[in-house]
Amino acid sequence: MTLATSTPPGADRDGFRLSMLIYDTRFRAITIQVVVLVLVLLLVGWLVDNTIQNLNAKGKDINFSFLWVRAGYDIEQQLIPYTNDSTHGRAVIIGLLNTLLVAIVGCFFATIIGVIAGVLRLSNNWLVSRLMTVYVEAFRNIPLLLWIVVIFVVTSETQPAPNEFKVTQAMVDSWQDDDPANDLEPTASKILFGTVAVTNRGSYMATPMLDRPLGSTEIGGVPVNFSVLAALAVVIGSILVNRAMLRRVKAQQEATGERPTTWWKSLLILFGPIALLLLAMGFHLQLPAFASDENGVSKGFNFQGGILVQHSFTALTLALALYTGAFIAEIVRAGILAISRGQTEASFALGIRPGRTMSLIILPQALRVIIPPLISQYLNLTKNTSLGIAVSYLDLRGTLGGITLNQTGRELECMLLMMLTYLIISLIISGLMNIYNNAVKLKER
Amino acid sequence: MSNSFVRTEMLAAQEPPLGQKGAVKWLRENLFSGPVNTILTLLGLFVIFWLVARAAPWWWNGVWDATSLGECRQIVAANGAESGACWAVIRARWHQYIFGFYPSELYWRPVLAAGLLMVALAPVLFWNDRKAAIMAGISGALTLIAMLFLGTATAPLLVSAVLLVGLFALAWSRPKLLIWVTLSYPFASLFLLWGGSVWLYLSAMLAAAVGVGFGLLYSRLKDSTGNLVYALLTALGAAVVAAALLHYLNAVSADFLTKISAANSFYPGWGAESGILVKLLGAIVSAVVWVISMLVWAMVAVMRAISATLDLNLGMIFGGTLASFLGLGAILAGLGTFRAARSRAAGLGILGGLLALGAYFVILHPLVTAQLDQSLPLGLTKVSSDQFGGFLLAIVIGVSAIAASLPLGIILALGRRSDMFLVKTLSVGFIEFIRGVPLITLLFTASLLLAYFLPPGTNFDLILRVIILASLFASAYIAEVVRGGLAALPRGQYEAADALGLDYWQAQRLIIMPQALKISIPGIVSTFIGLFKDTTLVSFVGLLDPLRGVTQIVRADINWKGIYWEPYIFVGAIFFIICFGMSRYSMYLERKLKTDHR
Amino acid sequence: MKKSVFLGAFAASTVLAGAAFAGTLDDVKARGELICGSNVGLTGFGAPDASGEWKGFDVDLCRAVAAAVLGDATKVKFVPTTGETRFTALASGEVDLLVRNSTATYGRDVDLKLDFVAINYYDGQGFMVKKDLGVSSAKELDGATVCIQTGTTTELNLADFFKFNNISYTPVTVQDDSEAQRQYLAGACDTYTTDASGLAASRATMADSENHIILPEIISKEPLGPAVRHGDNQWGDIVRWTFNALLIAEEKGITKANIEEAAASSTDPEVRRLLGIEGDLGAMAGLDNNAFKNAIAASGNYGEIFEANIGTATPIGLARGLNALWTQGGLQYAAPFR
Repeated sequence: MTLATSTPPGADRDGFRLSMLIYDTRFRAITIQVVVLVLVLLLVGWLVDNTIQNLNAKGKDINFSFLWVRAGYDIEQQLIPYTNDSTHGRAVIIGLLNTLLVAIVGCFFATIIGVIAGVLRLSNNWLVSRLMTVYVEAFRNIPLLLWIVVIFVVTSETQPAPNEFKVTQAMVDSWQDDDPANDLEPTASKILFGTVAVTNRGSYMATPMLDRPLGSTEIGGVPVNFSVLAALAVVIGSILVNRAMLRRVKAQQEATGERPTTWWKSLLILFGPIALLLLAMGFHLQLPAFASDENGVSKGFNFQGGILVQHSFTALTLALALYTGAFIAEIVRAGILAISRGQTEASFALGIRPGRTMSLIILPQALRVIIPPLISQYLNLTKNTSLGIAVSYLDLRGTLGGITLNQTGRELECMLLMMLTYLIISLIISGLMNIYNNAVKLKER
Repeated sequence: MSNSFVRTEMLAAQEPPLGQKGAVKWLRENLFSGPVNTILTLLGLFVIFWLVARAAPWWWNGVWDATSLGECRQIVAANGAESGACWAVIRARWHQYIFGFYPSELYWRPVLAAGLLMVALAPVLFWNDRKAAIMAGISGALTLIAMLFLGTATAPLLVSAVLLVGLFALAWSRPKLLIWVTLSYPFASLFLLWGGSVWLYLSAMLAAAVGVGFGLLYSRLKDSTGNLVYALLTALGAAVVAAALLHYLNAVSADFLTKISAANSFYPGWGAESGILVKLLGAIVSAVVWVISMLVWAMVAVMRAISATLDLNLGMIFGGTLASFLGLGAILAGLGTFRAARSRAAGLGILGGLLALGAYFVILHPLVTAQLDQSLPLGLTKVSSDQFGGFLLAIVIGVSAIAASLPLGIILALGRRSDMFLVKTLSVGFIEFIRGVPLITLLFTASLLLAYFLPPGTNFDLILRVIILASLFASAYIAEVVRGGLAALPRGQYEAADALGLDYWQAQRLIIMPQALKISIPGIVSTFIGLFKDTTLVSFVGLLDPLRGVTQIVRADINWKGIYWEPYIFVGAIFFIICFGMSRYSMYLERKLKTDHR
Repeated sequence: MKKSVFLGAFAASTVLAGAAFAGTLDDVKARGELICGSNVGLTGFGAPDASGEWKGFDVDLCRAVAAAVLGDATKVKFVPTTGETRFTALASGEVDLLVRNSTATYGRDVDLKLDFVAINYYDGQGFMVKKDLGVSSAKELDGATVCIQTGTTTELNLADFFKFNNISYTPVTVQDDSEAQRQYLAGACDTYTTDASGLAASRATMADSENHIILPEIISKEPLGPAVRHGDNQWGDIVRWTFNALLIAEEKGITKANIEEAAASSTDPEVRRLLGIEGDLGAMAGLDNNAFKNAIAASGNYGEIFEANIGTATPIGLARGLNALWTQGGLQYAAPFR
């Protein structure tokens, strides 16, 4: 009867007939939705019921308590502290952070590579545009899996082993005499003023160290470093001050027509406070180096000190960046081509150089066309991080969907949790990007 | 004046300066037009030189004739070269990369299936009849050449030759009939690839044709007797399908409430020595799990109540109680359909035909095929799914997933554009869920979890399970592509359809879909390329994909243990050729579509 | 009335569900084919060759079981499983038997509801290093980078070993054996750890095998064996006794070559029982009486299978070691056949 009362005024009030549920467009929508709902409920009920029966037959239950059991395995790349005594739950979080790290770094580089390649593909330079075409087509038409494996192999096959950096007794002896011609040196050396050592097992980077740190605490198992917080606060503060300063200068320019020199002020405001803070805390870099005995002969298997960036991470990130970059290049190219030629011509007519035309006129307009497909590329990249399995990068799939699943045998729980996590990440990314997209969208009236 | 010089004939055209003609001009304009360009050019040249210098000796010294990696290395060393590729592994194992473990004397079957696929796709890919016929001819010729090369026995070769020539003749003379080849292709390819009794496929094909044909016929029926007969048949189909469904619900064996208690024990770390954040997180997760569990439990309880109240099971179909149920169904269906408008009747008719088809499959199909098989055994050697591998597997998964995802994708796209809240929500939820999780998790679901979701004891091929999940995966992407096509149609098309008095499905069938699908083809091809590349991921669930699966098997052979680059280069090259070809086609189509619209 | 129908359906479905998991023997016989979960490709233990024929130490055990149950060693289908999918494949009934160099552990036996019915290879986890590293004991590996396969028990053993000895290491996880070997050879890790048999197999195929040594420490017990589903005791018995039959055959000197002769002329009562000449021991398990004879005839006795696939005559060159018969100082000891 509730259906009959919802009949809009002016409609046939003769009464409600059953056949109106099918033939009356006002009610048909309701009928269809009810039927669909019942069918979907039936399907879900059927699936759940089957699951219960199957679990019963195997004597299993749905239980997430394994997440609080000792994991017992090690993870090579950990952004927050973790040992094999930590729980599976913490291993999952480590994996999640590793996934996010690859996704963020990958998206960053993919964007840079994609924009450069997309612009260069339209370059007047015949050779460069052809090279970019080869790059784009090669990466778009060969499975990502192959690229990940290939880059991984290249990084580990072409770089020197750590012991080629070692100083041996023979080298120390050769330095004793005065003749520099006889001196022996390690076959490999560090790059970037000794801050980075690229070996076949990963890159060892200099670690920033503080002599007088501000201490740290732990909130819910996550360490919080006050020094980092302080540095962040100072940097954000400097940026805000700098902005205020620039705003004032602009106001002055608009009032008087003269713009005071600001670059040295900006530099001072931006870098002065943080430099002072770091100086106060005793900042220095700990270079990666071998432990050595009193004669200077290196000992041990690996560099001591320094942050180790595993090649599985490097290869996965690089492959993802190059692969997604090829797709982004196409998007950028299409976006640029979508901007009418008149814009370029008008810009040239104003005497703006080609490089600046691109960065000031074309790209900002093309951005509106580029953003929506770019979002889906970011999403794809994030999902493709799960291919880290090919190089055994311990991301979310490697920990939760790999070792934890294997050790505990809880495939239902692990898989559901993993899917849910990926889903949430994807939804967050698309949500954020949509907000951004709405912000830059052409406001039409 | 007389001294003045007046030229009477034109000056002969002078040669352009050296910098303005020929190669030099081209170089100056295209490579060295400015400092930035010069630097870029030099950089590009350096990159090319570096790559060639590093890889060329390795390619150049490649060994084609050896029986093991060790022998390869010896030959390379004997030639005095430092490094050399060992292509001998490709020579020895190429057939596994292409066909997996498919029996070598039956290689002609997948080849013929591939050739027929091209013929079947011709009318879809080219709207120009001549071009379609040419494509059919070329693919037929290539198929025959490939079959000859693979050493096919005479009998299958002759049959295939006759078939392919016949199809080419058909495509040339009556191109419109080619669409029937397309429609029957799924059955033909299944038969060719998996083999078995021919009756199985013929019966299925017949049933499908009868089901759809019957529905179409019904829309033309006017007399009430026909309606009644039809309604009865529909009710029978519906009864069988519904009873089969409810049978499962009836067969409930577990008490879900005990499972709910698992949710309470979800967080045993409660009160243990852990941080406040962990505790909070645990509490929230427990609460969420508990709420979801309760909802699901309520759903299951409702389902059980329904099935218990109706007290239905499969046995009743054949028992006495069937009559009352059938009667009820017939009255309902009859009442509804009597007053149907003709177009709606067509939709209902097809639905009913499909239900009848379901009934046929449940009851008659096994009997019919068994009987025919006994009296007239015709068929091909059976090949089981685990013998599929390499590119054969990749193409089978890719093509069947895309084919299966098209109808589902179209329905999802329409659902997403629907004004009905529930339908829209469900479609959006499904699409976003599938698009939000990586394919690899879906593959693991196929391998690890699907057995949980199906009735106990159900067990079927991993390949089939992977195809099902890949189809669901692709359908979400196809739905987005089709939605794009629908959105690209001018609003006027919808309004014109309404103005003509067409109802929803008529408008979709006659006006909207033909146009929307046409502009969606490039997107569909791109989706296919993506899916085809992603089929390499099936190696992670133990299937023999060309990239890792077959390569792993080759490397497990003691003769080829340690081989690395050659298989990857071989597989990568084939992937590149296929995907590049398809992407060129889709670009060609995009250009063509653009001119159509201007 | 309604309730009774409901309960009836309930009972019927429970029986059905039970049947699907209990009667593996009947399933296999009805299907006419044994489905065996195998490795995706591990040299010597299980991998298909160029013609698609599966060969290896584990594979031959599957063939023996197929011969015992179906009387035909070729009626077996091999389903490649990965480290992640193997136990689920067995639990969900996708495979009848899992012979995939899987370690028997308490957790797998009790928690994962599997039954390891026999141990066909006693292994242990070892380390391989390059000679020029100058390491002679695993305890000197402090700070080393270790290549390790994921999804196995080895990563847990490794963590335990280093923790117990209070030394540190950097793990490099790899997906499969050939990848681990490549990384190790490239120098991406100082040492490669896996089952000692796998190390020996890898070392045997290296171009410069004399430059690599396997360290003396064996840090774990790795009893590898066939697994079946928990609760199907009849099927478990059949697999266990097929394996035992292969051991007894070696003990009694019955080989693939002389089995017909032994069946005709042997006077040893245990041999006669084993080959089905005397008594009906095969029938007790629901098989033919000559089932175990077929099993032995399929690829020979345990020793023959070992030597043909991974023994000293093969490129892999493993010595019998712990896997020698108990009479020769090993651990392979079959319960008496009576």
